[in-house]
Amino acid sequence: MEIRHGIPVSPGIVISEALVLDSEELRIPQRFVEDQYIDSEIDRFKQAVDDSNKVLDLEIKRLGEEIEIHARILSVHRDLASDPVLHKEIEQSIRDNSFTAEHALSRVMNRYVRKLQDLNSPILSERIHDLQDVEKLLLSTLLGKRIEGLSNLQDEVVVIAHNLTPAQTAKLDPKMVKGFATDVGGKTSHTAIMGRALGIPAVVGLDDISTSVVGGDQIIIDGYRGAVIINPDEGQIAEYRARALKSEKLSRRLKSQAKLPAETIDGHRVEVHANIELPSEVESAVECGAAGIGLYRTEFIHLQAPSSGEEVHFENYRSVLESLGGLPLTIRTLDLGGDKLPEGGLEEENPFLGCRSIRWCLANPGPFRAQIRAILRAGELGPVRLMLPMITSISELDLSLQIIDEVADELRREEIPFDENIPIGVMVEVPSLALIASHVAGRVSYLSVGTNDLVQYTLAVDRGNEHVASLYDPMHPAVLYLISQLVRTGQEHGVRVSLCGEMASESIYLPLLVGLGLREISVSPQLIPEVKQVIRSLIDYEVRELSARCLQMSDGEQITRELHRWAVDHFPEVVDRF
Amino acid sequence: MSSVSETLKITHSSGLHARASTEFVRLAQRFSASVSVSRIGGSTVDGKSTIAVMTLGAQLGDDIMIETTGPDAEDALAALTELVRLDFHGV
Repeated sequence: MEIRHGIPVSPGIVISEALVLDSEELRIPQRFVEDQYIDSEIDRFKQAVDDSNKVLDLEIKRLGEEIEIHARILSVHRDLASDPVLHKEIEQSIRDNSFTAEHALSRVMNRYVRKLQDLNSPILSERIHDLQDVEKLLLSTLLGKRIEGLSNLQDEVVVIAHNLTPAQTAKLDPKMVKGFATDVGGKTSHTAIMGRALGIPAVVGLDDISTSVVGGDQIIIDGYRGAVIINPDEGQIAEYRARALKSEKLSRRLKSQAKLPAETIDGHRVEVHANIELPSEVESAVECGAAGIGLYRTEFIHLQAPSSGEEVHFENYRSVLESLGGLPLTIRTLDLGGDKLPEGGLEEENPFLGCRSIRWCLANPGPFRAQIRAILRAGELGPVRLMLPMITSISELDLSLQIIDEVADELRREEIPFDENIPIGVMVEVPSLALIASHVAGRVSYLSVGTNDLVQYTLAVDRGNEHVASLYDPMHPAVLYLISQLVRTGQEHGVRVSLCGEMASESIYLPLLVGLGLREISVSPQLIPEVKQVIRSLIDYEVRELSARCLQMSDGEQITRELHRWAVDHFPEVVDRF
Repeated sequence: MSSVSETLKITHSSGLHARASTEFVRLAQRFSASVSVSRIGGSTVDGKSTIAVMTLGAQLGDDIMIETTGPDAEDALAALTELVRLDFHGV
């Protein structure tokens, strides 16, 4: 039994058998052999090399007459497949670690791929592909009939991988896949998005889960707490079965009430919206009772096709609006960071303080203007709001607004229909903007607090950095002070203040947020039924008192304790689930 | 067992990379002598392994030392140094 902790990115609990994905779509069934089979494992490897070389020789001969360049590439593959150093290291790895031939091969090949990558030479990048091709050839020869088609899995599985790619998940049979766990990734990685879209638990950032788990191991994935248990004992299985059952029952009940408004007992309505990345998520958002889309992340559109222009954006927005059937849609303009940009991006020492988000957009007006055009045009098709991320100063805001004006002029001249009165808002993610909110309020229609970045920038903590992650405290009094001031400023100026970000996803924080006066929040679609249920159990004057009490406290831990106690008293069944 | 060596400079523009390393290893494999290649200031690897020679990372201007050991060590060294001097026949 072994417990690993990572980042929970899609809620739920699952107990199932592991399917370990390695080297693209090849499944490695086993990682270890018993000691008495080590010699035969080495023979199996040598046989696979011989067989692969025979295949290569035939191909080289066949191609040599027609396509010489391909034959040359294959002869390099043959050299690599016969490489004496590779053979020695793979054999040694089988012998020393009792690895299967497949696993030893993958490990050794990966090491050389990394070595080549470290040399950072464009000439060698071709060789990396060659090496990977050879690995694939040897693997498929080794596995022979043991390769199982991912698309016709016989049993339910949880998929364990280093990092899931769209190409891999596209091959998986969604009916048989019950959970994801990966070595790397974050809240916005492909794994996270797929997990939420399929409604199955997913945990990422588990370091080396893909090499710790053997195909066929029993695995528990706890998508609430971010835990993965490898080969759990009977007590744990019983505990998790009970939790899964309870949570499922609760989910069903909550979902049946999802369409009811989120109104406190004393009649204060809170609008609960959904955060999404893909048009395909809208349907489940509406089913879960979303009052609209409070945050549509558009980076995906750009990353999938960096040259995607206005029309690609517009088509995505149109498809989202169609599924929304008249509910409002808040589109955030490109929030690309030094960490998210694909090749050709900037190399910065400190990307989170670098040219990201609106700064990148203002420095790259081409893609920004194309997106603004698409958003303004989409405004003709339904209630669209435009949201600018990571604004830090008035001049930055004014410059962005000026560009939007120019784009609107352009559309007017071209006689293309668009929404003349599109509401424009900003995300408050940086303390500097929160502190000058009264100057901002006169220029925009709404303010939306992005808590993930606001916490990160207020506390100077990179949550992805394991050495300081424990300092990341959303309940730090400084953060709460900024949010409460912002809500007050909004009320004074008659400007709506909403909150999107993970803070609203934690049920225990909800009483505080409602108590601070927030009347619009946005969370992942699956969490909406629960969030609405919690809000329906609140009494406004009670939570106002609670939040006033919390604002007096000097320490985040103390505040969290207070909120936890409050939640246990008022909505125990939801807290229990975590 | 006789062992001979020679130190020389890489003058091939793309270094001992990719195709150059393939040429080198293929030639080395024709001899029964064992061949080792060192990058001065770097590591020493088996000269009959493409993957090892490739990851040596020897670039234009680097000094490398070739050492051969075995009955045909002299011939092997002569052939290999010539290959390096002739910039791997321009591959």
